[in-house]
Amino acid sequence: MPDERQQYLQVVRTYLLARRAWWLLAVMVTIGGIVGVWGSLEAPTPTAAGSAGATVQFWRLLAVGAGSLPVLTLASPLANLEAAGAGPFHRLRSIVLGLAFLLSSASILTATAIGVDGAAMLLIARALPAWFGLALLSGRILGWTHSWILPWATLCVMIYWGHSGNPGQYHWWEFTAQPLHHLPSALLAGSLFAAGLLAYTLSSWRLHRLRHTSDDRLTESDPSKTGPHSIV
Amino acid sequence: MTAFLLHLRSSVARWALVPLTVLGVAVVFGGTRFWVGIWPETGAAAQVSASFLSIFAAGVTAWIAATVEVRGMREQAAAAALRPLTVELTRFAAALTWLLAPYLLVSAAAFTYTAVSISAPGIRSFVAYIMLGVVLMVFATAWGWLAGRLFPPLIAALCAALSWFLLASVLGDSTGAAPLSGPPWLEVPFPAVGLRLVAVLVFAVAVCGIGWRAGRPGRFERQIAGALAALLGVAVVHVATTVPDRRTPVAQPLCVQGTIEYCLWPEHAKYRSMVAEVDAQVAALPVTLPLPRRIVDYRLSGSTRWVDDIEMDIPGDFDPEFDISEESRWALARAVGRAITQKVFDGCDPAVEDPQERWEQLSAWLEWRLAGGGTPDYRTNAADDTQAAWATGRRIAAERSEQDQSVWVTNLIAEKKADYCRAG
Repeated sequence: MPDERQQYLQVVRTYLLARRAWWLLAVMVTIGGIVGVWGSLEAPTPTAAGSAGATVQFWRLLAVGAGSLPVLTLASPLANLEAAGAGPFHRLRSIVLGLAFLLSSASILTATAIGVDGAAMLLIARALPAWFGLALLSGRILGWTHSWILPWATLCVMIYWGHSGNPGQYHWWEFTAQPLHHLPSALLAGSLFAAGLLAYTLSSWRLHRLRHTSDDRLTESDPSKTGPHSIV
Repeated sequence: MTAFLLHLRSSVARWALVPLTVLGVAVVFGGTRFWVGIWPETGAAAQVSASFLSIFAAGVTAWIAATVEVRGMREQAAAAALRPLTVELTRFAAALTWLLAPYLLVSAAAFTYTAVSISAPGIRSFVAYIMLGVVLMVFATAWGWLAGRLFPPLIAALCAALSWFLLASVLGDSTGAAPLSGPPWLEVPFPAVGLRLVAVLVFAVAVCGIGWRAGRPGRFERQIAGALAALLGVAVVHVATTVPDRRTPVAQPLCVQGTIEYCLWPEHAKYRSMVAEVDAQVAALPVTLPLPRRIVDYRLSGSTRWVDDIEMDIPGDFDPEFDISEESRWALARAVGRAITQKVFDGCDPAVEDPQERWEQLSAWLEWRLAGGGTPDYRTNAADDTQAAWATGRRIAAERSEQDQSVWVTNLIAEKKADYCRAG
């Protein structure tokens, strides 16, 4: 094997080792296993609509974990150093992130198809990108290690306020429980996914470049704001 | 104390105070359901917030517990001059203080909201429900700490939050660890809550006693086994204690004497004025009907008993009951109306079918009048025939004059008794 390729594989192995890839994989498989065996179980939860409460299926809870777990591949004790990494490093990061999302999704979707039913599988398929996007947003704002916070806060809001009060009916923004053909919740899930990807792309380099570009434009439009080394 | 204050000032959990308080207040006061405003229900409402706050408590403490490893200070922590258990207990206590504070603030807010509006007994039951929430928060914090020790720091917080939610759901459902409401006919016994609190505190100490793997071989595994044994103890205590428990009818309920005597749970003192208004409507009926001597609050009659978790009727005559759990005038009016209807047709065989459902017509007529008119505040899935009978009774009450209503009621009772009451 050429040295360059060997070196690249070594980098990938180190990258995965630093991120405890085996643990992540084990948790993905565990989530899949729990969904496959106990996914249909329902947990009683309080709701804002009534004192009787409601129930939430385990597969809806575990989908949050499956969607936000891949984002933990971005967490690292050397996060500040890695943020200054060059293009190839960030490409590797993105590839690992994408593969982790696909693996996590495959695990839970397969388990749901086998252990629950096809309808639930499709609902999870709609919700997973939303949870993934929320985790990316959370990670960008609070730090990649704390990427679990926003998805779980959102889940609490959905569980408590998502019920409309009528049995089996939810508000339009409850994208984990609305029927598959419900367009607003699908659009919301897609928007969250897009927002998450946008947050992910806003690395410190890009933000710096954007700020620098806007500063340059400001300088060109207002000659009085030229710096000491600018050419008039 | 100095070490505790030092950890309190530097604990990461202090950042959770404001967001968790906001979440807790939103959960308690941001619901669309009615604020019942009696002490046990207030306690239960505040305790509900612990179900959500505990998720974040588990996640945050998992992260805090793992920070020693994150910073590569495992060897230093193991070699500290202080006993490791002392260090960990101090860190744990500081984190628990910050994470429990939002829940206690929310509880104080709920207490204040109810205290300014009522003066009734039941504060003990409020405290008991709040203690249930404290048990949940301590358990979640200890669970998160355990996760922080067992899992790598990268995934500890997520695994702690996810596993805690699943565990709390199972625990809440099977052992009453997180009741959704607090009616006065249920109580949370202090000994049971105290026992649960002791069990979770023992679990917390056991978890804090888990050292780092850099210590002596086999010691880490023994400490893990100790923590798991303590966890088993928590599970056993939760299963063995009954929370909330059924409350025996009080010997001296709060009774209001009107046309009928109404007896309530002492905690329902705020409903006295509503009961008096309904009784005034009874007195204003355009026709004289036989009335029950007394109507009592739900589960105050003692007409049922529990045998091996099965509710069984006790043979004999008992006072009819009403249920005004959420200050529903219609619920009270409906129950009083049905009690009067039962008295009117006392002796009639309920098995004899009446195609026109005159019993239901009279009951609905009474309900509409006693509630003061309007649209009922409940939804129903009763049979179409029954709903039609109700609609007839309400229409008579809403559209006919007092004299016509009196004639209608008299004729209805006479027809029913003549045609369908063999013993009447």
